[in-house]
Amino acid sequence: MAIQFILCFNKQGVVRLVRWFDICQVDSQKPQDMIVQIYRLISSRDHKHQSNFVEFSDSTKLVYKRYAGLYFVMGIDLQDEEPIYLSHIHLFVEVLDAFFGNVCELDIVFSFYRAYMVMDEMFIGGEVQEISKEVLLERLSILDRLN
Amino acid sequence: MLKERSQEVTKFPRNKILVAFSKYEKHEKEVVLKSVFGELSKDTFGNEQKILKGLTWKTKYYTLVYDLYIDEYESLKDWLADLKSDEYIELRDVLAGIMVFDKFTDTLQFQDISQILETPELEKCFKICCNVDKHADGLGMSKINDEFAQRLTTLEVVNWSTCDELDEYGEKNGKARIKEIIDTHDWSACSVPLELANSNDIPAGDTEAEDDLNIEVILRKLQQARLRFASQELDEKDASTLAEEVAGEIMKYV
Repeated sequence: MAIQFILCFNKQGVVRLVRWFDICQVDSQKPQDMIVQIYRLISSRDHKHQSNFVEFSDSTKLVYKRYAGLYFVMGIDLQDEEPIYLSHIHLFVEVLDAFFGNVCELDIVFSFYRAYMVMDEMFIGGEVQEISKEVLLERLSILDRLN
Repeated sequence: MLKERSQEVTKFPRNKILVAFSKYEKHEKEVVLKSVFGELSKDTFGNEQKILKGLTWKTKYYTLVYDLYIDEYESLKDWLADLKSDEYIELRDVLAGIMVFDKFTDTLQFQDISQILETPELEKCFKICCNVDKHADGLGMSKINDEFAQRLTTLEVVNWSTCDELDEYGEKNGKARIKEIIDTHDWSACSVPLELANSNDIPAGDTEAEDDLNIEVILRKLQQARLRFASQELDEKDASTLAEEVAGEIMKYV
């Protein structure tokens, strides 16, 4: 399992999106406590001079990026290559932006089901399914019309 | 008695925003209130009207009715001490947010404010300290916000005098950031009617169908059917006949 979880929270630590792919890999602590720890760890980092990668536990490292007041975080295995997942985060945000049309935090709060639809189209079982933005947007527009 | 009092107070929605200005920065008041809350009553600035009720905050997803409380202080320390005192517990219970506009020259002031405002009643409130100092150090304030975030404090420091609407991360600054904080605050406990973001998305035919769909009538039919089933001793055949009858009646409304 490559991606253990995907998390999105704002600057105040309010969680906007969360998807756990492998609970077993996650250390035996409550998810809520884990999220608080992750938020504390990431918000304490110097975003100018420190990298977007940080080791979180014996089995997990975090890859994160900050976009307009929102942190997008992926928990990955220690053996995995971080830049790849950073590019996945960037693609995810680009797709959200194209899908919603200049996405903002309010869109994710009030249309969370559509944000999860985007996430589920890109990531299944902790693995990336599609990396073509055009293909993703086409599929998402079909799904959106069904709603 | 405390439990009774708290139950009584929680009947009131948390839809009040308290805005406080330093007496020495009064000249900023009109500009600030207009920029953030839009056109308010003329009396707000003329006759010093301090409570504005029934104001509307609109976003593309919801409309909110809120009250605005405007106050002034000579000493911020004394004002915060009053706000934290037992006399103002009812006020704290109905506040959704607190904004303080002042010239903050010393970053330690933010630490003091954050300590004072961290009370259980204000836990769910948004708290904004807006620095109206034209020479404010944006970077310094950003660092303070990061420190507060680490301590899980809900206070945020905003630089009012910034020229750039967006910072290096594409995040909003100044009045845009204040509006964003209000937009994304959890107003769910208040009566917030949701409006469709873009009514053009929904074809006219669907809205007509929605007008015909009367949920209350359907629920009443289901309740009556349930009572009928409970009151009569029915065998399997009679029960399925009754179910078909009820389904047929309900289908007329769908």
